[in-house]
Amino acid sequence: MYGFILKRLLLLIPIFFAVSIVVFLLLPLTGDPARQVAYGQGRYDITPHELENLSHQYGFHRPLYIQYIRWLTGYPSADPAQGENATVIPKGLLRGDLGFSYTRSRPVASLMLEALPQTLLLTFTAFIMSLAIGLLFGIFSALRRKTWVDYTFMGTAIFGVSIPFFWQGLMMILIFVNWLKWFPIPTAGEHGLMYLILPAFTLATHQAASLARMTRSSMLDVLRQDYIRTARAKGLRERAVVYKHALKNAFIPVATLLFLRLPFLFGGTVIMEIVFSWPGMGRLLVQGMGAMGASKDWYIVQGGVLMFLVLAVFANLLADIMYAYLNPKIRYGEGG
Amino acid sequence: MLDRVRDFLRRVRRSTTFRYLRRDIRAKIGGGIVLLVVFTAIFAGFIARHDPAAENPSDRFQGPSWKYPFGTDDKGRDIFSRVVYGARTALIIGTLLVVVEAVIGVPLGLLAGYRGGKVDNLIMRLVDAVLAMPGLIIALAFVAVFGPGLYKVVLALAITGWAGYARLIRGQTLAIKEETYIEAARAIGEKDRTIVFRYVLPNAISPLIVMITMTFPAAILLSSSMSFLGLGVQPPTPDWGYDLNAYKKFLGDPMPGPLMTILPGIVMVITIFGFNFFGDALRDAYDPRLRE
Amino acid sequence: MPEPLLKVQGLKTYFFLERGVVKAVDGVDFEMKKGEILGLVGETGCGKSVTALSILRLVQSPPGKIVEGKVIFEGEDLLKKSNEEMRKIRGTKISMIFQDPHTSLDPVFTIGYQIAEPIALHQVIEQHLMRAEEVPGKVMEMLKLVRIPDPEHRVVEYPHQFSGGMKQRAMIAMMISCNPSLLIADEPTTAVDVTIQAQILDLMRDLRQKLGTSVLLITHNLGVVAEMCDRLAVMYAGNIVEQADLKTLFEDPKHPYTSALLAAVPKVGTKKMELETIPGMVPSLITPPPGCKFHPRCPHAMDICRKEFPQMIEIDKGRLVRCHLYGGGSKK
Repeated sequence: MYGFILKRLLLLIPIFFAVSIVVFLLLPLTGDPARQVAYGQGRYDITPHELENLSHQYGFHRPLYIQYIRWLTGYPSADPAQGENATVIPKGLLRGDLGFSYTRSRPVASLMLEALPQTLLLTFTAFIMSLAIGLLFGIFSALRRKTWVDYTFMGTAIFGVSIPFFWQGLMMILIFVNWLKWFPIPTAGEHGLMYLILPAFTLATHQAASLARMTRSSMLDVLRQDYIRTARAKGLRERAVVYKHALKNAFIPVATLLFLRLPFLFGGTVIMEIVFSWPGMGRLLVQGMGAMGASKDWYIVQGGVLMFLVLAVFANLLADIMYAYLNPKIRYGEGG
Repeated sequence: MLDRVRDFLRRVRRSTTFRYLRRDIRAKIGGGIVLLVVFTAIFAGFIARHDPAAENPSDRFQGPSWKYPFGTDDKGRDIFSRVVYGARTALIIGTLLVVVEAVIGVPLGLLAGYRGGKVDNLIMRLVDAVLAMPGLIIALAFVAVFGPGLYKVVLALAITGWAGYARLIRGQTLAIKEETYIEAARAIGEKDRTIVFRYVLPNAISPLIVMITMTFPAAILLSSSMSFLGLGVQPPTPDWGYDLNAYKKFLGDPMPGPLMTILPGIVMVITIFGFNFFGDALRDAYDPRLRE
Repeated sequence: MPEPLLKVQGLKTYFFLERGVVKAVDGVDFEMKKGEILGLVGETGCGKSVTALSILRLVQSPPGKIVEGKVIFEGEDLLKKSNEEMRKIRGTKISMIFQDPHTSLDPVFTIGYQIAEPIALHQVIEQHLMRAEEVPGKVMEMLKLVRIPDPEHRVVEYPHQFSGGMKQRAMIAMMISCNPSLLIADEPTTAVDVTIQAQILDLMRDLRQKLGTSVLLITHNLGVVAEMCDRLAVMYAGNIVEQADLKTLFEDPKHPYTSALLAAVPKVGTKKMELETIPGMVPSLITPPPGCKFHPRCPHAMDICRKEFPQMIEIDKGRLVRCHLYGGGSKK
């Protein structure tokens, strides 16, 4: 198993470089990075001379590969002789610098340090909430296949995955905040428990529905297998056959898929953060992209995209580890 | 020509898959919804009774009525017409997305599955990497860089979406490759290209059709989310997500304010649900293991 | 004459499918004595496995269902028992080993655990014949009994670490751990290669000798049958067509199907250059041919064969045939 994991970890290095290149290229690809910065700061009437100045301040006049190395490592450092501004020149991703947010006049890293925990909190809460319901519904449906229980659960589940996150969020606000008044109005910056529940729940319903379908499918597959027949032939109690043998086998692909779906869940989190004004990285990122009337801030975009990509890679790694751990064939290797 | 179509339809009608579908209520309900939506999208001009962009300041904020089935919005536009044309936008996005994703993904999948070895390895690593990515976020980044708009949205979503097709086709190709009729074809000297297009591809069609069906709900979900954030389809093109973003500010108002968000949303949900329902039935109909 | 261990009477197991009702077992009768090895022979698809599963009531239901018959084991009709009673019989009084050892073992539990399960459940918890501490010892005993080498290390390994033959033996260990009176072996040698086959058969003979276990051996391999069985029952399209002890059946087969089967086995030393086959095809179990199901392929088919389904006739002591050549018409 450790060999398996080690291989995966080693793959992380090229992946990291690939991701970093993609993220870095976001700004240059717009065609005119200096102008992007200017517009972000609201300077729509910037003169060509000022633009040139700005370009030098940010080091955009340097060759692209130099800019990349600088972005990654911080070398070469800001050269005032070329008009480079030390505050805004990247000091190296590998040294913890994620750029300088020119719309908020703060290092991106500090913005993200505040926002990241919120995003993780929201996603994690939703994840946990969805587990119990999703698994139970899925198992029950599989066991009572083709009965009204199955049809009801699965019908609900299909509806669950058919409702767009943002609309569900809006409906939740309508019902639980406006009409029932059980929860406070989502306010920018607020991140207490009462503000957490609704968005987490909205995310969780989607995830649970998906999980229920996966679990049911996996259980049905497993229950069809020969070794289940063997278990019954041994005279084991039905409870043991189902909850010990069937479930343990069915759980392996489900657990793996759960983690593989995390990137999708992060996408949902981004939307939830906007709808519920939750102060997480998704909201930061989307605002940085110019949504909701905010000004575009490319360093926030870079930082945000990078962070989500890293999270996605991490989620995948977790999925691989989970699979290696749960599957005896990988955990104990081939023998015999 | 017409004969071939008639022949094809006859074969479809007799196929076991179709028989399963006919008895599956999911296919009937889901299929019904899909047909309804497609019909609406195509004949939007006839079904919508007003110009979706036409503003009537005197008729603002009206509740549902005979004239305006979903009421009017803050600019006096007929919401129902907007929803109808929005369906057209949604289906156009879905169709385009299917085409782009399939054009990229299917050949890559065929190549990987048929060639095997290093080619397969390389392509699959790429596919795995892409599948691991958060699709929505990448799409948003793309639009941030290259600008919004319907076609950009399709491209943005296709960047990550093709991988599903590639993996599916590769799996199918691998399985079919081992069949004896492929060996036979090769034995009589058929060229690789012929084998792939005449034997492998037609047999990989069934799960492909399921995937195509399921691309639509994903396309609608994602593109409407992007438009909701303002990073997707832009006016004047009507779009469900965009409208819902515009109408959400009236949620706190007295009726008919919230209806502006509720009604189009319900239509959206039913559409997505229809595709999902039908897709599920289709998938089960093709699955040989479910043949009792 | 002592009571037979197992008496199957008029067993009918049907599968209710989309395309029709498959009459997999369509009126099967046979008996087994204590301590004997009975071979249930026939081509693939003739209903042998379903018969075995029906005895243990392990038939997938839906779509299968035991519609009629009696399965009398040690004097009691199993088909009348409750699910819970039946469960207590499985693994303890009657056990079954399956054809494909690769898919019949749970991949996520160790071999030791899977062998211990029935022991712990039946011997310790239900029947109080053993204490919990004795279970590991019993597991080792079983592993040694089925001759798995290096049992101390093997016991904590997973199925995928075992070879095919070892998996089959592990399954045997699981199933005989509670000393069943009847062991049903469904094609135990089909999925393994010849050398392993010999070991497995050897083992089974050993068990019969040491523990007195009766074996219902299901197979389509006449070579295996010749080595192992005391008596044979030949099955065709859901019915038993002939029953006799081994020697008699091989030397003097009465039913045309049996003769054809025996003739089809290529023998070393004969001068024939062609393989003998049975003309025609295995009949559909949904719409079997009228009258005797074998008549379309039978070289001795008579008029009555096309019309009337033959009854089982005892032409000699312990010798039964279902064929119009020997009577078999219904009493007029």
